[in-house]
Amino acid sequence: MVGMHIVRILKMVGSIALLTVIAFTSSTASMYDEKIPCDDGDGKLTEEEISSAICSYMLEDGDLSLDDVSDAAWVYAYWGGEPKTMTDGFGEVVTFYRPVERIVSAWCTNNELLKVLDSTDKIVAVDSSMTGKSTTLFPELTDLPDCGGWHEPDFEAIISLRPDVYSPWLITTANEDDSYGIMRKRYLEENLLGMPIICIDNNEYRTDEYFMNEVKMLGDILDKQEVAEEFVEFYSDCTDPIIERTRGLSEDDMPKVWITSLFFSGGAVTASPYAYTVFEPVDFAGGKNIATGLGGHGRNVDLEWVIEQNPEYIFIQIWASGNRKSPYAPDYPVSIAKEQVDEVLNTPELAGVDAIQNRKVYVLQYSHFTKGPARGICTAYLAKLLHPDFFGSLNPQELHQEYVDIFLHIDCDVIGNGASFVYPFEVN
Amino acid sequence: MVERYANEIYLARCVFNVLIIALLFVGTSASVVHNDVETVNRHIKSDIQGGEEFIVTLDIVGELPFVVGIVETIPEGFEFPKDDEDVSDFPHFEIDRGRRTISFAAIDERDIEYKVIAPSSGEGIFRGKWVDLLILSPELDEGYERLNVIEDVTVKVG
Repeated sequence: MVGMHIVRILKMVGSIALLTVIAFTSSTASMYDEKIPCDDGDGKLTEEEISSAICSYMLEDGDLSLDDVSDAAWVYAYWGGEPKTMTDGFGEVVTFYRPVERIVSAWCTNNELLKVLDSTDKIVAVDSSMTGKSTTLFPELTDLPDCGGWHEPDFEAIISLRPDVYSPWLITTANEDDSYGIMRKRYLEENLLGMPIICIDNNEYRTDEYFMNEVKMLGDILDKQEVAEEFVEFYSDCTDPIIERTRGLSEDDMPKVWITSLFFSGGAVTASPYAYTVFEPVDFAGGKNIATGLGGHGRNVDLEWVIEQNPEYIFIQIWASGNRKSPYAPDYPVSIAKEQVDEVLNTPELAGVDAIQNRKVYVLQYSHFTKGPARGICTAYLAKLLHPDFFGSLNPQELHQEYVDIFLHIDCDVIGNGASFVYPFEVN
Repeated sequence: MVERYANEIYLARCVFNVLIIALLFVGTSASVVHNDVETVNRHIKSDIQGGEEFIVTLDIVGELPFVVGIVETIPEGFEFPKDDEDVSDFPHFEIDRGRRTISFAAIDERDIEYKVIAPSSGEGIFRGKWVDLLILSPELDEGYERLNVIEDVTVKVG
């Protein structure tokens, strides 16, 4: 008898849970209707449609919310009554039927770009792995809810926050079978119930031109066109004079550079170390990447091959999130960079290489420096390192400070903190 | 070399500034910077006779562009003219006669007028609310609590 009651109760609980899930799913799905709120569905919101919706709302008639009416008013006033579109890194068009007011952003460098575009007030949740820990760079995001790691999103948490858009980390140029390429986007789409996904790709293998276009498109979607233009101007001011100067260099005048990372090999140089095959900041700065043309974005190579190439400079990329801090933090541990420089300098097989002989081994910060909006700054630092004679008047740290003051709005003395981005780094 | 580099940057900045100014003049790529609507005022003449049809004027204070929703409630005993087209020339309004309310959608139109017929005697308070619909907010589930109050006006008839 008691058992039957329990079974009945369990069935009731199960039914309620199922109904709740269905109701939640259907209401969530309706949040992402592919139409402008208050529009009749023809894709063009007219004055009559928005006016009628406003009048009804003000009379408390109908089921439109203030958010619906307000979003529609915005689309009518600022978007000409039509949806906006953005072509993402995969070449797929993402359509926005409402202004972007709530963003769940799961990648620290994307957050830096949103900060540059004066839009962090739209972020409602961040990844647990990095952003929330970066109190110096993102003080305004420190207390936001956690949407899971960048690689392992918490879909339930994301959906419950009802964002207008989800911004993940992806490799938009990856092969189709790569788990962080288009397959990843499809996986996110399946789990996010129609939520628009912005695939920002500001990785270092993307070209300068692509990145500038991405900034402008994002500025347009966020209605931050002016600051996007301002940033593009600043970026060009950083890189154009450098590119202009290095463009005419002969092969002989371009020092050979090996760009590597010890991230996948436990901080050690192995017999088959990594080499980045595409790294535009080095190209712009007048370096000759020894791995250019080897395919992909990067690959493992034989250490013997590296020795044969005899690089004059070695750049080791280091991933800041390993420290759960941004390199802007005053207590960012430079010791890890020092360890990696020492590891390369003390690798016996490399002892005869020019870069070791001349102690031209540097750590470059990966997050917030070689990728993302600061890559123009990174180009300036590299130009200064690779061609100190050409760029005698160039002061990368001054440019960096300008970037921090104008676009990041954080209290950070770059000159006192410069070694966190390039280690070791001395202006003269 | 030092001077050359500095000159290049200076020249590039000058050229870019000129381009930006030119872009501003042709009106392209401007950011959306919405200036919040300041307030909405109501004006009603003071000497109203019994049964008189009089005009209520609303004026919106703020910079263009704006989209403002307004709802007005007229006092008990007061009425709107019988036909909707006689109530107002404003392009977008809706009336709920049962609740004595009238709503407006003001899109870049600062001045609104509507007509009301006074009772034979008595007095009443005109109340109203407005909302600036171009204020975006990441807050969820905002509703009527966001509406602003238009200052009450008491009307005495006779």
